[in-house]
Amino acid sequence: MSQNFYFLLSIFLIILLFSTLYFLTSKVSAENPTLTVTVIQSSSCGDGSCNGSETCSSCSADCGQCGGGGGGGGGGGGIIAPVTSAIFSGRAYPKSAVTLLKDAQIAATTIAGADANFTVTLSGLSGGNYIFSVYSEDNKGVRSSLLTFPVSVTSGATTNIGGVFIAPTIAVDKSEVKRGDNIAIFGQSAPSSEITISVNSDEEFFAKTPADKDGVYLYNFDTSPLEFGQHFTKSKSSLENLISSFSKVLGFKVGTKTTAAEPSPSREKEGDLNNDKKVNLVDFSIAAYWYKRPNPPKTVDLNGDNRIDLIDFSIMAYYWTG
Amino acid sequence: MTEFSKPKRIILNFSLSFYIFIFSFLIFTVRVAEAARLYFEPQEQVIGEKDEFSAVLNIDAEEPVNAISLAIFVSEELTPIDTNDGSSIINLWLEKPHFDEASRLLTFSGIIPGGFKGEGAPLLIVKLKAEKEIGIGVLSFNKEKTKIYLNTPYGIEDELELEEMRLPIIKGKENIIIESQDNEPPETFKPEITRDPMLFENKWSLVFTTQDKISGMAGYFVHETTRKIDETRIDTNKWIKVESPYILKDQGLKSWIYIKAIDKAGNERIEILLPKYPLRWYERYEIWVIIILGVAFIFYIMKKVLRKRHSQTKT
Repeated sequence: MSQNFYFLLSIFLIILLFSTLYFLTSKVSAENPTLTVTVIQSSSCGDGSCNGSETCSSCSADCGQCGGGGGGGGGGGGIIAPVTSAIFSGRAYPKSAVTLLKDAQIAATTIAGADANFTVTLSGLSGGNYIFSVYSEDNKGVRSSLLTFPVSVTSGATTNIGGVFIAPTIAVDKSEVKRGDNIAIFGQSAPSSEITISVNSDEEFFAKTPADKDGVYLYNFDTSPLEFGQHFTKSKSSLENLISSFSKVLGFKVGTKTTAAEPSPSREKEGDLNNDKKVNLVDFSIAAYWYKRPNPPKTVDLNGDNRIDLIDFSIMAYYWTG
Repeated sequence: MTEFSKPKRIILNFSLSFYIFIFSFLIFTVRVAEAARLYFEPQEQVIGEKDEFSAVLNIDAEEPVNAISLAIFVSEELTPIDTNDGSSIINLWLEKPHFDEASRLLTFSGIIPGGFKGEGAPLLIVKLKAEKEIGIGVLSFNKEKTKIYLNTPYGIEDELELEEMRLPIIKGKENIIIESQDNEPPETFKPEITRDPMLFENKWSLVFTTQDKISGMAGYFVHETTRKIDETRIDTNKWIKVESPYILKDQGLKSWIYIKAIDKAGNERIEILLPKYPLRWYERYEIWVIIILGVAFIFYIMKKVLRKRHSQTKT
């Protein structure tokens, strides 16, 4: 009896050890969005190799002189400087506006196709480290979270950044929900993608729901297992081995009554100091003007501690739109 | 209740202790891994006193971070000569790197909109020189003034793992000279004219920023003029050194605004903003000069013609 107990306890502890290990490692890796970066050397005249669109007539330096034919006139010369560029491709939402930021400033915008795929080409870059960010707006004008990634751009080459998967948008239909009632969590992502919804309180609950052909998803979450108080929800999307980052985090309260959510959450306005519906360099400049100065305006003081410090800039950086 | 013999109890206690240790270790390491790690990468592990050398300040961020304020203590054995923020992941600077001789603190702060998550990302390259022939040069962090915030809407401070750098200084050691050629101008940028009651009492001001990926930015200059001119022909003394945000001199917005960004290698990029309310023809003095000259010329010709006719009728 005691031997069996001892054996079972050991087995239990080993299983517990490995499951803990698996849980801890999978928790870290599951949140990593997919992104692939490849570098393609641009074909440039004078680089010593005859490639791309180069021919003997367009680039004799690399492809040699054209044979045959008569005479013809000289001129020309000079080496064409290789182009440094970056091509971004990925998925947003069907026919949504996609904005690309380069080092926190808008560099390009495009419209995604009906299949949610988009491609943006950015030229005129230098070789070096860049921080690129992308975001999109769904069919209801709700903005996604900012997907930010550092890219080392090689001088004279085209850097391909593929697999950019913009996080789903997210909204809830209630700001306060009576415990036991359902709360609708909805938004938009790529068509036919699988949406994972997380409701985070003391215990984290996960639910999965498919997005329809327009990328729209809706999940009615039963609040019975939630404690009274403030809770948060977020979602992410997966499709064909691509995993998005998490969406913005939305809060809702579980209480004794039900209150409908406001059409545009007030926190969306955070950081937009001049009310132009953008959080960009102008807002940063206004906040920087008041940095460490006494008696700042309340609209600039984002965390309401009566001073402008790094915390206010951190909140602004979270809501950045460029 | 199951009774165990003494050896078995010892083994059971030992295995339980072992598992508790493993669990604690796992939880501890995962917590440490979630902190942001700041560390230096010197160009060499040992340095000499003759030549300058550089050290890169890097960050490993397990969770996305978006606001950084750092204070680096530089020991007396070293002196910072210059800094290069060209390759930094910090996009917008609140305080550019500045060394205070009295406190021997090198401080800077800035933000990364959207946040950064990853390993080995450069924050700053510090160029240093050894002040003593022998000793140990130390770069360490002032913990009170070093703060990093997570990319959240709540301003949550991240846990930090700070690693100081200790570099042995050896007399006569020759440091490797790293020379980087920078022939490229700073990045293109879009200056913006703005006005807000919370900024310079609602006066029109100019906001701008750009980066230079190789040598880093040296500064910005502005020239306002109501006449369009070739930007290469603007006199050096007409450029005013400015910082963003800058109060425009021409509050009527009738001027062409030339904004010049210069990197530390001296390469320039000039962006031009057209006047929002260009001068009307009657506001341009050169038009009046032409009109007056034209009228005077016509008057002169008419007078001459009339005089000629008058003399002809007389004869």
